[in-house]
Amino acid sequence: MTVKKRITLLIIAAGLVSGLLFSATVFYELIEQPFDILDAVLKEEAYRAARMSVMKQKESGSAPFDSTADAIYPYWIEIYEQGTDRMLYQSGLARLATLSPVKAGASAIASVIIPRELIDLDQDRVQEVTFRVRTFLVPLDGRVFSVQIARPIEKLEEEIWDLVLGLFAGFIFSCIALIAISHFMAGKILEPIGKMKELTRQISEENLDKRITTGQGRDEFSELARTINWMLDRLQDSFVRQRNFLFDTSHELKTPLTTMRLAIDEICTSETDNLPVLAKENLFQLNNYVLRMERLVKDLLNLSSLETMTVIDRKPVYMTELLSSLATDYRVLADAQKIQMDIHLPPQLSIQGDMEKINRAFSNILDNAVKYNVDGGRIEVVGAQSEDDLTITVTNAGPGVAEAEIDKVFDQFYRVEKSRSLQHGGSGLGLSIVKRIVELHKGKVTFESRQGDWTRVTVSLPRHREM
Amino acid sequence: MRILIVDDECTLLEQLQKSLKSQRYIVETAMDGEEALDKLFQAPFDLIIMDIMMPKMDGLTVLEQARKAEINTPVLMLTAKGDVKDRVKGLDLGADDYLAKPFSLDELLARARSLLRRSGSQSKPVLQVLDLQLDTVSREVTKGGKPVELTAREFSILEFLLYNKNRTVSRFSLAEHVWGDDFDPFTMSNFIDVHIMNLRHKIGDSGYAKIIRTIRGVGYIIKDSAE
Repeated sequence: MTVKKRITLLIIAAGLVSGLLFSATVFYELIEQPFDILDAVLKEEAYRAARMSVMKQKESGSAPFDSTADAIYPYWIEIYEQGTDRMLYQSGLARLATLSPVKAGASAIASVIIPRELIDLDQDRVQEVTFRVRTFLVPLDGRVFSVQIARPIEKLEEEIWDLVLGLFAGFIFSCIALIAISHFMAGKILEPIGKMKELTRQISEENLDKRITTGQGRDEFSELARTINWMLDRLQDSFVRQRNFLFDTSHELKTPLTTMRLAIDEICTSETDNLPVLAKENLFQLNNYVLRMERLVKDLLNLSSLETMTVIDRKPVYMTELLSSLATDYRVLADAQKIQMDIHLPPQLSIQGDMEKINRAFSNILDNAVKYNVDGGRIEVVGAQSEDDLTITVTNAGPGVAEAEIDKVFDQFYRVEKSRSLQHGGSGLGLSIVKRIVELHKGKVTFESRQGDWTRVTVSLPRHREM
Repeated sequence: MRILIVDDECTLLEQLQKSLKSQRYIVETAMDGEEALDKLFQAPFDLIIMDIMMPKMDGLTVLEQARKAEINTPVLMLTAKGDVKDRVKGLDLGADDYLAKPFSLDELLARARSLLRRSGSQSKPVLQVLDLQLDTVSREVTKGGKPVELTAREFSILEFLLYNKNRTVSRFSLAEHVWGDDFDPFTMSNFIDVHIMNLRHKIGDSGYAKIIRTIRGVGYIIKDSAE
């Protein structure tokens, strides 16, 4: 899950929880309050009714006080004297409906069916009326009366239902608002991260000097940006140092090697006839190794200076001529090994590039094609160009490379077969150099092979400056 | 014969390169002093043709540095007309000859040949061994009076061996002078062997009277006297 989604969800969750708590509180308060008021009213009415009935009883003897006349009196009341069954008073409503008794001090909600014809209490179709029922113990004149009082709460219920609906609608509405806001906020929060990501992505080996723009603020993101920049500083530093080290070492090695080679050359080209056989053999071997060393150092220097390079000088390179001339050189070698060399180059192949480097790249490729070939084998060089690209494939017969090894061929110091390569004297850097040169030209090089059969190197180069 | 041309003027450089290449010289170019020094340190040349006025590092500095590093390749300086001071300084620093701009191509080629001969301790423009003749001016080879058709590389190999007559030339230095250092030394020594084989075949050099002799494990030599 992306961080943006996570932040969005977190904000929504937090919003929902607080919204729910708020709604619950409001709901509870709003639900309880009317009942509290109602209960107070009921209590007052109970006392009043008790007083009234005691008064009436005194006036009219022991008969229960009847008030059928006030049929619209909206209270259900039954008054008993505590401890007796004698009913002191029964309101009009109480005669129409029977409510089960409720313990003194307790409250209850009860529903009874009262037909509309008898009394209009805003009944709906079911004609069920809901009452809030309470029983109070009222002490009067040294006696205690139990007053069960109830009042229809049809309207109240409706209001509560409205309230719930309102709360629910509000909740849904705020949810939608929350999703929108949190999405926007998450985007806003992550905006600096997005910018940093974009910039960091652009930074590669080639432009290690690029830095992320840090804000003036002291917030976490600016800190992060500064930390990344600091890391890049150190990375660049060590990178440059490593590259320089490679370059300097190779350079330092070159001078003594050249001196050694010249010295050996001098001995070799003067009279060697009077040297002991063993010395002569060793001298030749030494010569071979110095040459190999020199080649290795040269390739290392080449590669490291290619690595440092980021842009090349682009001039027209006439590929047909360049490849033909290289092929002429290698054909001599190929002929000696009875390797058939087929060159299919249309006239006027050309690109914009660095001729010397392109020459080196194809010289390396052809070198491999001859070296890793078989007697009586074949080499085929095919060139083609379109408006934008030039593609050269060099295919050769030979032992090839195992499929699992193919990915490694461009690695530095990779050799297919150590013994075979040593005999051929390769530095193990040839294809790395090819790859780097092609990359500098913004091209692509691929290597295919079937073991024991053939090998094909394909180089495609953009023909113009920038694509 | 490998020649390094150093000039910051692109068109002149390309023109010279083309002309010298047509004369079957192996030509490398450098656009400024630093590049020139770099190339000089990488592989030996037989001649340097260098402009004095250049950005980054001028020709005189290159010359001074090269001589200090004991690179004794002959140097032909290209100078502006009438710039006597620079010429004198150049010659004192170890330049071998100068040519004032503008110059004719023929004169440049002639001076180049002369310098190459001198460095190879040859004085005549026609190099000869037994009945084999190589004309450095017309770039033609004859054997017993009959013309021999050689490829550019074969010609260069023969020319280099003849310039260094009576001296053993190692395969590697032969390769460096004929190809430069862009090739793998082992590939090059194979190149050399194959080319020498072809060359011998073309000049009818077989049997006992070998013109080009193999020094086993080292290289080749052309000797004046048949042994």
